[in-house]
Amino acid sequence: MVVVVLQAYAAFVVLVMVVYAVRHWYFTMNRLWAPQRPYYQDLYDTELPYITVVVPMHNEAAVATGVIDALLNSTYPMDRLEILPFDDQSHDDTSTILHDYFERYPLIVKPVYMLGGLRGKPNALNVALHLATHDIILVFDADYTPGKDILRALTMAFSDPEVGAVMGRVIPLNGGKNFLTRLLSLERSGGYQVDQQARYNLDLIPQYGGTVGGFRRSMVTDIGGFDLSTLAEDTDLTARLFIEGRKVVYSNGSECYEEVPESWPARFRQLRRWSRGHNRAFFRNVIGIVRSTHLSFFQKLDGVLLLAVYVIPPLLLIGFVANAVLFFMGALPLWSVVAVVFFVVAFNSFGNFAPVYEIGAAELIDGAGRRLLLLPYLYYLFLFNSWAVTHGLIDTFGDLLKQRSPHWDKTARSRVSNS
Amino acid sequence: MRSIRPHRCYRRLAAPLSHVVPCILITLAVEILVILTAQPLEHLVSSVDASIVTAAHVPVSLGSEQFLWLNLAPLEFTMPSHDYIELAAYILVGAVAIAVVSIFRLFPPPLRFFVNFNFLIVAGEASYLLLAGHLGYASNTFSTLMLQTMTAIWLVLPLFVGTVTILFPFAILMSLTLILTSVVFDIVLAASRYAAFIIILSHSGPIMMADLYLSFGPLLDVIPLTGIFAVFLGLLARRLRHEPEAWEWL
Repeated sequence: MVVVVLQAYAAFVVLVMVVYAVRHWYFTMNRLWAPQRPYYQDLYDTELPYITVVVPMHNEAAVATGVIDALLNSTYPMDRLEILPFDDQSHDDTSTILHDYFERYPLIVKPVYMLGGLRGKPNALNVALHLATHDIILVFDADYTPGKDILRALTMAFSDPEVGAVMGRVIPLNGGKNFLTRLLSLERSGGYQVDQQARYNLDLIPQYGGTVGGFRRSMVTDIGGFDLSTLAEDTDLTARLFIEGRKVVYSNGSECYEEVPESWPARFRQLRRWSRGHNRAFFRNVIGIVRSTHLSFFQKLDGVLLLAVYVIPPLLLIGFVANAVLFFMGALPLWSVVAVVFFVVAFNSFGNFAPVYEIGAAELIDGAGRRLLLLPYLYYLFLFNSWAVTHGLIDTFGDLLKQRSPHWDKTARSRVSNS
Repeated sequence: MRSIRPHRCYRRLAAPLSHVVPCILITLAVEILVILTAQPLEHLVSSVDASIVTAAHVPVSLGSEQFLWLNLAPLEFTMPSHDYIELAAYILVGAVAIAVVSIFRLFPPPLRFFVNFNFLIVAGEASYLLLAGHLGYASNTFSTLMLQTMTAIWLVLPLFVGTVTILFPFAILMSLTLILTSVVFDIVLAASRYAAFIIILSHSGPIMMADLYLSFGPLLDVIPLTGIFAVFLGLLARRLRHEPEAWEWL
């Protein structure tokens, strides 16, 4: 009986992996060879709407000037731009820096000081829904360095009245800093250049990633604002917008630089937080996605696979344990081993965040050369990622059982202040 | 209205997919080649491995097992057994090692997790042996499992490498070289590993069996295979940088 259950479980894991492998293989084929779905470039010089840019900050003195200066240097007409940096209970010099900007640019930079209460990005965004003067709200994290044209490019998407949110491409600023950042750079490359763009091409579910993007305030307000109980308000918003028949679009050309974690502990905490929030969004929205009358079959399938992405590494880990027990019992099925080798390990490299061929394709399009030689090192992350994500899933179950709101654990910055 | 500037976000490879049919044909050709040569290859690997293992002073004989249409010749050998004191010691050492590696953070996290994973398997296997008295696989059944696993992987490998290769516009010769190199490399790697495992197990006993198979066995093949793929992809990237006609916009 034990053997049958374990073998059935192994078969289930293999089946799930086959589905993901086929999905990502198709995405790669689509991104490499199929005509790309145009963004809204043709509308580039139409009249620009008024926009609000929100920058949530918590102890961001080291990076605050970078992001605000970049926004102020943007090509977006300053008379149509409002910047709301949120000082979310910082203990460093963030508030002083923001006040300095307010004194210099009182009509553009309007800092919001959150002195108490619930901390975290979803709460700041909910406050922004009330405080923002304009309907289109763009969001950048404090460690990002937006390019000159990015506000204009992202805003263009809202010319389409069905668009509820837009997402740009995130590129690591410190990608060459060390081994970890190089691997994360590869991971990001596959995720955006191929995965997001293919989902946009195929009219599936491009994901709003919570930064380097924006949303339409009226639509977000209509669906009840941001969920304070999740750490992945971006994934949650993506799912809820699609469930309500709104669109999320991806702008591959809107590139913005971010700082990826430079230390393993920081990366572990980041992944754990993402997993915790993403899985919360999964449990909250998966039924809604399946039952939505606004989505096609393939959109539903893609939505479920997208929401389930952080459930997969724990599934895999349990699958390894199941295979180990089957081995001890002398009942390891050969098909399971072969399938694990090819579908779990080869085609889904490290818990299916992005298979190696997808990352390879992204690097090819980006014109990378020697960086491709790092591809086999991605397996180095397999257990690390799986373990961090599993921790996050356990946190999610804890949150659901205890009805608790998770604590926001900010990713540590490595950049040294230049202010 | 402004014209769209060339940018990597709009870049894609130029259709038509003229490499697809040759790649499928090459994949099928290599697959047929592997199928046709599987039997003599098996016997060659078993004979060579038997020589290597014998040279390491481990007595082995060649058995006979039917797998699919192939007659395999697994190496038959003997392993020392463990008494309960030894097994208890393995459990204790495994637990202490995990604690030491975790508390003192002796390695960077990914490596630490891998090291702990191995200790966990050894301790788990020792616990199972202590409770059940014997492992599901004896020396000869394990040897058969190893041989069957590597054979199954060889048989499937060309199809899988071909499925990935087809995504990229490799020249015909490059596709052929990539698929063949992958297969040949895996045959050499798996054959060497088979001999090494038997030498290790004949000295260590069954306690290392699960760890060797699950941690250092066929699952690890994918890493060097990805390395080979990465080298070929790098060469392709270099070629495409000098071929603007290979790219289209939008």
